[in-house]
Amino acid sequence: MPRGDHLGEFEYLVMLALVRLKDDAYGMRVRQEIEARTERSVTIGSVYATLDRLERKGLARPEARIDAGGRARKAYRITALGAQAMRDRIEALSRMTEGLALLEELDSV
Amino acid sequence: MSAPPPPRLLRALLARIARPASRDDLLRDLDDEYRSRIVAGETPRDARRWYRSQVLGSIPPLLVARLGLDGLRSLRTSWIDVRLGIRMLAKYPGLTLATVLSLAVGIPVGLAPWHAADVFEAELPVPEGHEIRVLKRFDPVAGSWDDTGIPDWASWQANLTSVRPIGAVLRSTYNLDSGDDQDPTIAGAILSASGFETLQVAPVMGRAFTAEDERPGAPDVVILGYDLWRTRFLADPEILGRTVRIGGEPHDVIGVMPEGFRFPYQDHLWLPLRSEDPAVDPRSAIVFGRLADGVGEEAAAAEFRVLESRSDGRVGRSADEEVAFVPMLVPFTEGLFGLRPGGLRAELGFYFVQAIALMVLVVACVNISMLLLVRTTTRARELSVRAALGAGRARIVGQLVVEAFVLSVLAAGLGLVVADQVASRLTFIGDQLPYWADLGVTWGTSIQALVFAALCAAIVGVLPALRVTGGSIQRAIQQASAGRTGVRFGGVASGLIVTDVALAVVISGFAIAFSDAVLRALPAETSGTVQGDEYLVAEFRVPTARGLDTPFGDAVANDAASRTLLTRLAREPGVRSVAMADAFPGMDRGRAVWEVAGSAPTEEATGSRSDVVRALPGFFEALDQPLRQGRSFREGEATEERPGVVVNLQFADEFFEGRSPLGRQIRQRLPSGEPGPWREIVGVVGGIANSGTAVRPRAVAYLPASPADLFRPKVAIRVEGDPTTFAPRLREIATEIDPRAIVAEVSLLSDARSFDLQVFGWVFLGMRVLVGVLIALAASGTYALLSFTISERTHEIAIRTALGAPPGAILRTIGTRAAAQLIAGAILGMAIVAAMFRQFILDGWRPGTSPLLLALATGVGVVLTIGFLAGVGPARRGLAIEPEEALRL
Repeated sequence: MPRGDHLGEFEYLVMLALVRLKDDAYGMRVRQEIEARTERSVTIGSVYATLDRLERKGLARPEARIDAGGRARKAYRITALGAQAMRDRIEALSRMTEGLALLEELDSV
Repeated sequence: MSAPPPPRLLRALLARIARPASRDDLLRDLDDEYRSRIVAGETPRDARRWYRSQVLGSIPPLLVARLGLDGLRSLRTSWIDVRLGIRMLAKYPGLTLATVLSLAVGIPVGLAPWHAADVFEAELPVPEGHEIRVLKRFDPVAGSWDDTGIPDWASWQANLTSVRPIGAVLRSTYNLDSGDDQDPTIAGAILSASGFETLQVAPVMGRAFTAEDERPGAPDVVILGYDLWRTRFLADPEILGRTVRIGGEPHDVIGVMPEGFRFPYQDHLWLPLRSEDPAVDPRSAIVFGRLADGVGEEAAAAEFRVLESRSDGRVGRSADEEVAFVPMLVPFTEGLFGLRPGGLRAELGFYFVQAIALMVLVVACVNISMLLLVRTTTRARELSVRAALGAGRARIVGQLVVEAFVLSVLAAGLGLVVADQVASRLTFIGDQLPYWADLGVTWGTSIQALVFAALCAAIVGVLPALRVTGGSIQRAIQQASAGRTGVRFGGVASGLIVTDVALAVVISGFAIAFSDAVLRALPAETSGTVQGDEYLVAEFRVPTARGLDTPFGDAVANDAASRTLLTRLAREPGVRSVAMADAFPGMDRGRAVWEVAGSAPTEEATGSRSDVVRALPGFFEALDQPLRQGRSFREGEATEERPGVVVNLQFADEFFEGRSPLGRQIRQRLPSGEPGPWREIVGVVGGIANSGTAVRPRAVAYLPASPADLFRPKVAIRVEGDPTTFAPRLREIATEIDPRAIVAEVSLLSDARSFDLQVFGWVFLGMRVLVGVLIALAASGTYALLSFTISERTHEIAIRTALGAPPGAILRTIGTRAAAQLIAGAILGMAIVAAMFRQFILDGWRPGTSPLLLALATGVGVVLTIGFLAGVGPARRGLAIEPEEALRL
């Protein structure tokens, strides 16, 4: 993978939120999803800044949608390149943890 | 349920920062969630707090994205730099302190002129306040505004369609009897019913004025200000319909205005405008209107010009007064202050002051730059290791700039706090400002300060960083492991020191010349031979009918009341003497141009001008100032056909070159150009107003007057014991004489200071602090560099000492370069000071000393001070190193 296409931690979290939310992946929903699941506070600005960056890297793309209130919105979806980047990351992680009883190992620290 | 709107300012801030492509979505998301939180039961306060934290937390990532910085480095590493920067603050506390303090002074000083202009341009805090204009006529020949009055208001109101409604307001002072012991004097205004419509501000209780209230013979009514209602009437909920006495006359309270409304200035009560009222001065109203819906500024101004050209600008004035006035619609604040068209920013002097202020900031930046250069150099080893580990030059420069930025932002924050504190202490100016002008720090100023901080950071961070990262990594590591930095400052450091010293010389020179010039221009600073602390002074006048108060008051009532007051005061036990005049020593005085009989009429040169004091008979006696020659004023002299005039010694000197002026005739040239009546000089008095300080006394002519002639008549009472204890009794007597009588500005004569003196007092204090700070800054920067240069040369010094070189020779070697830099800076600075004086100061300000001499003295003084502060320590340290110790290094 070329340099610069690897995913930062927050980018990875945003990508995961896009996958989870599917058609409902608007900025604020992404923010709420990450906040709820990671229990850390997330600002809307960092979500939009990250979505912009992912878009520039070609890892996610915006789609015009009509939301429940009938208003035009921009929702995001991951691209094929984005899917590949996530796969790389997951595989790297799983190779690193392969054969480890990870939690037990960590408990013994 | 409808939720309150999200905080507007924060939302606007976010809208500016967000990328245009996602701005709408971002704001809508934020607003939606804010509302849904309130709908879900969160309190609006909590929801706003959440909103605030969202916006503030969003600023850094959005800014980074907006500036394209995330393409260079990921967000995380820039936060590491910030953290590193903060750690550096703690690691070098001395440097942090010096930087923060110098920027904390430099940033507010640099911002101050611009901020002041903002204050003058602030819009009225009423709905759509930016649409309010003052209607005025400008006299381009005299460069001043013409008076506007009630007839103008009536004509404009009847004829203009693009500006409406149009209101009129006249400011005044009233005696309000609220049945307690408090000072009854209240600032208020006569405000037309249309004025309320124009402002679109309704009372919180009761009603505004209507046309009915303006009818002659209508019942007397008053609208109270919120603070007045709360403090004087204890927020009485039954206030409406209650009768209060204003100037002794009963008025019905019909309304209470909202909190904070003190239109047009600092006013607390409003009376209706009755234009037929003989007491209303028809030529002194502020006429203001609102641009009609859908009408642009240009169209409205055009209509106004057409209307005025038809009426020849002659409404309410005689034909011979006709001047080619230019009718204009000006923003309210500008109109109120009578600034020239375009406001402060249209004045050349404004940019001069702004340039000087910015120079202070530049000096601060240059010095911090020097300090950082030294600090960065001492970290050369750390930086070279980072470079060896693969950090690019851009990465390291970036880190150093972020560190500088953290410092600057901290300093800017402190600077803003300092500025806010200083502004809140300038209360004597605050009282003279309209109610909506806030000298305190605003959002706009804060943002400007941050921009300045960023600029400073760029200046102070980039230069040292480029300098230090310039060499090869290999050499840097070798040098670092040998205990030296290997960085030679060369030209950069010399340039910085020269610039620094030059700027310090320029600003010190400016400050000295300014003080010198102003001191010369000012009237005597103290009451001189008059025992100022034995006199109580106060303004006393009786307002015209219906409480309308002009600076002259009601002529007939004033005359009678003032005479009664003087007689009654003279009979009071403990009162030794009483005088009445329009100015006592130390106060603002009028000026006049004089023509001497038998000499050619002079042009308006300084020689033919003097201060003028109008006084009632008994003035010199009460102030214990016997006449040197001739006689004092006679009783009733003011109304005689040929009243005399008494002059002071300085007047005799300037107008008659020391010969006796007694019996000579002089006459005043009135502002209209007409000569006044001839007056004979009947007496000469010593330097009443002249202090024992080095200030040159000014020529003064004393004219006999009746109370009705006096502009803001003042009474001085010499009392046995502490004069201030007499103040309540003075009010009592005044109210007994006439319930409308106004007693204001009560103080000791020794404390009565003209406004100019108060302002200059602050300016002098500020200048002294500034010069001190600048010299300290220049010295600290130079100290750091010198000290560093010497410590880099300890090896060499030690070898020389070991080889038997005398300390003097070594000191010379070290000192030559430093001295050369200091002297070069001083010469550059002196040249600028001399040029500046020739350009700006010689004409108008007339400093007492020759500019070249002053420049020279300043330059030498500054350099000696800096040289001493900065050079001695490092040199001594260098010599004190034992040769063996140095060789071991």
